[in-house]
Formats: sequence, structure tokens, C-alpha cells
Amino acid sequence: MIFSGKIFRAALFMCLSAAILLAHIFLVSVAPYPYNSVNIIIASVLWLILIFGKQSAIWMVVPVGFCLELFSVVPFGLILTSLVLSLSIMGWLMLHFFTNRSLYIVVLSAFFAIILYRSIFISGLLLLDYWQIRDLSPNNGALVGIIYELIFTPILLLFVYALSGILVRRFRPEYINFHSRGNYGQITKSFWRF
Amino acid sequence: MRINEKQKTYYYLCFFLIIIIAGHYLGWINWIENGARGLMVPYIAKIQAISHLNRVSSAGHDFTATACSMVDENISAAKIKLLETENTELKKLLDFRDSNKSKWITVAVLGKGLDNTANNIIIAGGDRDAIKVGQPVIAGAGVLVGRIVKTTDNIAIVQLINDSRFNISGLITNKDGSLGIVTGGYGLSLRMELIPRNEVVAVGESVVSGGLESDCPRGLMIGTIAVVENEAYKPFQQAVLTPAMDVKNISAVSVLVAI
Repeated sequence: MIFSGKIFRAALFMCLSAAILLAHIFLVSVAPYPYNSVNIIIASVLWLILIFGKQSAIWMVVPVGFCLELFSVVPFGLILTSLVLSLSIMGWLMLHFFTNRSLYIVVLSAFFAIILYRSIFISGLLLLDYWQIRDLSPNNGALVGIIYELIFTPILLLFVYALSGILVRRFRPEYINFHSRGNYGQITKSFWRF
Repeated sequence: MRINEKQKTYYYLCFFLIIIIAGHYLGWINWIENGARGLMVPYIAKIQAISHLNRVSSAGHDFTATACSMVDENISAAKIKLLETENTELKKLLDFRDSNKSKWITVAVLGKGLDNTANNIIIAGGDRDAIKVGQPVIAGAGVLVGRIVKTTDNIAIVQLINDSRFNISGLITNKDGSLGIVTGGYGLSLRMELIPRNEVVAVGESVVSGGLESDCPRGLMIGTIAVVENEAYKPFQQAVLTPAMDVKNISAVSVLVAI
């Protein structure tokens, strides 16, 4: 039984990672500018942390970030490190400080996660420039893309979180054991609390 | 000091991250990387095809709306339009190649790059085709669309001309032959900076590659001047350019492998 549980979790993990990656590729290729600036990876992992209340959701960015690195121009490891670091910090803050699950916190968490991610990413690029490893420093035009990312990612997370909140309420989550399954209880109690 | 479960996750994550990065630079995980790339490339190409079809379909919708009411007809019209566009693009590329002595390799565009804040495309040619970092990439009748920034065995990544990290020397076709630096990252338009103030630059003049880089020849079309900004307190003037080609809709490009 324990073994089959582990297999199920591993399969679920792989399916979710693949789904996030495919959704990201689809969005980047098909969605028109500036809507393709949404960071679907950060939004999905934050949503999983909000729903399940477990920081292990951050593992999801490892395979996704690895695949992005394969088609990236920046030195290998920068995207992966930025994603893991920013989401680890944000995940820790969400589980220890921003424990309220109101819509304000949802928007703020996405906003701060993007700021953290881009700060680490750009600092990495600037450091590489400083050490003359590669000239990759972006100009002011890159800021526009980041601003769009900062606007649209919290909106997407808010929308998905609100939708999942409504679904959880409709499917009568009081039958779920909240203590063992994470933060579903918190969603229904504090969801509409602005 | 005991480590709890939550801390363990972070420690394992850091450990795993170090292993992946070290594995990449030491070449231990090359086989995983190649396998993952091989799995993803067909999917990216498929999405690119859908994206092209959608664009052509929406563009041709107004034209065919009255004549074609059935969905099938719309789809086939979009497919024909897509083939026509690809055919025209390839014809232009062939004409340019015939009239040019340099060695060009024509490859298909697989899809857009995966970084949503960068403007890159993935092309179906790599180290095997002698494609190297820094080589210029053109489309149509010799329009510069970008430069190679990364290569693997069978694919390469092109940094498009409208990417925020792109810059190249540009030459204005005015009587002074003004030189400047063309940079991307401003949405649909490009900027040309460091143009000497005393030279006369007019709207509508063409900008071509300046040929100051070792890999890029002089004379590849970049765009036309849309706005000139010449401020009294600045040592240089600058211009906003309209790119000669919409880089979003390219299906085939040529890479200059030898000048």
C-alpha cells in the first residue's frame, strides 16, 4: 500500500510538472503580447502552496526549470536557481508569516514572488556581466516585459484561486479532514475576507 | 540540532539544484538534456504550427467571412494562405541566396523561445550544420531578423532583433552614411542610438547593418526611420525604427555560416 501510494504521488508529480510546462509553452507561443508575459510557473506553484499548504510543491519547479534551461540563452542554472530560491523564500513566508488566505495575500504573494524571481535573475545576469563571463545585461526595454509580468501573474493567480475556492465550496469541503489535507479549511473560511 | 521535515525539503532542494548544475557543466547529464530536448521539440513545433494557423486564419477571416460560412472551408483557406506565405518567404530567401556570394543555410523555425520576457526563436539547425554563436540570421529578401546566441547538436536559438539584449551597428542610407547602434526591447519598434548630431537624418530613410561586427556583413536590411530625436543638450541624436519585417510570423530563416 505504501509503495503504491508513493507511485501515485510520483505519477501525480510528473503529470503536474508536465502540465505546467506544456501550459507555459502554449502560453508563450500562442497568447498575444502582452498577455504572454504571465509567469504561469510561479502562479501554479503558488496556487499549489495556497491550496495544499505544503512547501513540497516547490519541487515542481525543478523539472520545469530544467526544461526551460535547455532552451534558454542565459547561462545554465540561472533560471532554475532564481525559480527555486524565489519560490522557497515565498513559500516559507506564506507558511509562516502570510498565513491568512485572503485575496489580498494571494495578489501580494504573486507580486512579491515575481519581484524576488526577477531580482535574483537580473542580479545573476549583472554579476556575469561584471565578471565579463557574458554580456547579457538587458536594457530599459526589458523592464516593460517585467512590468507586464508583475501585472498579469497576480491577476491569473487571483482568478484561479477564486475559481478553485468556489469549486471547493460547491463540493462541500467540510467532509474533508482539513488537519491532514492542508489548508482547504482556511480557503472556505477566509476566502472572501478582504 | 534536529532537522524537521520542512527544513529537509529546502536542504534537499539545494542539494538537488547543485547536482543538476554541476552535472550540466561536467557533462554528466548530457544524455538527459538531449532526451528532454528531443521530447520537447516536436511539441514546440506543433504549437508553432497552431499559432501560425490561428494568425493566418484571423487575418483572412474578414476577407472570407461572406464567402465561407463553413468551418472546414475556413480551415482549408487558412492552410492555403499559410502555404502561400511560406512559399513567398522561401522564394525571397532563395532569390537573396542566389544573388549573394556568402554561404547561407536555410532552416525552419521550430517555435518561440521559452523565456516570456525575451524575444527568441528556436530553429531546426545546430552545430551539425556549422551554425555558430554570433552568426546573423535573415528572412525574406535579406532582412536581418536576429543573431544566433546558443547552439546545440540539432537546434539553435536566435535572439530576435526586437529583444532587449540585442544590439548591432547600423548604417543609415543618407548622404553622410551615418553610423549608430541599433537596439531592440521597445515592443514592436527598434531604436538607433549614438548617431552623430551634425549629420542630417530624415524620416523614411532605410537602415542597414553597418558591418562593424566580424560575423555580420554590411548592407542587411534592418528597417526604416520612423522618428528622429535630436535634442540640443545631448551629444548624439537617436531614431525610432520600424522593422523591415514582422519577426513574429517567420516560418523559415537563413543563417550566414561563412562570409
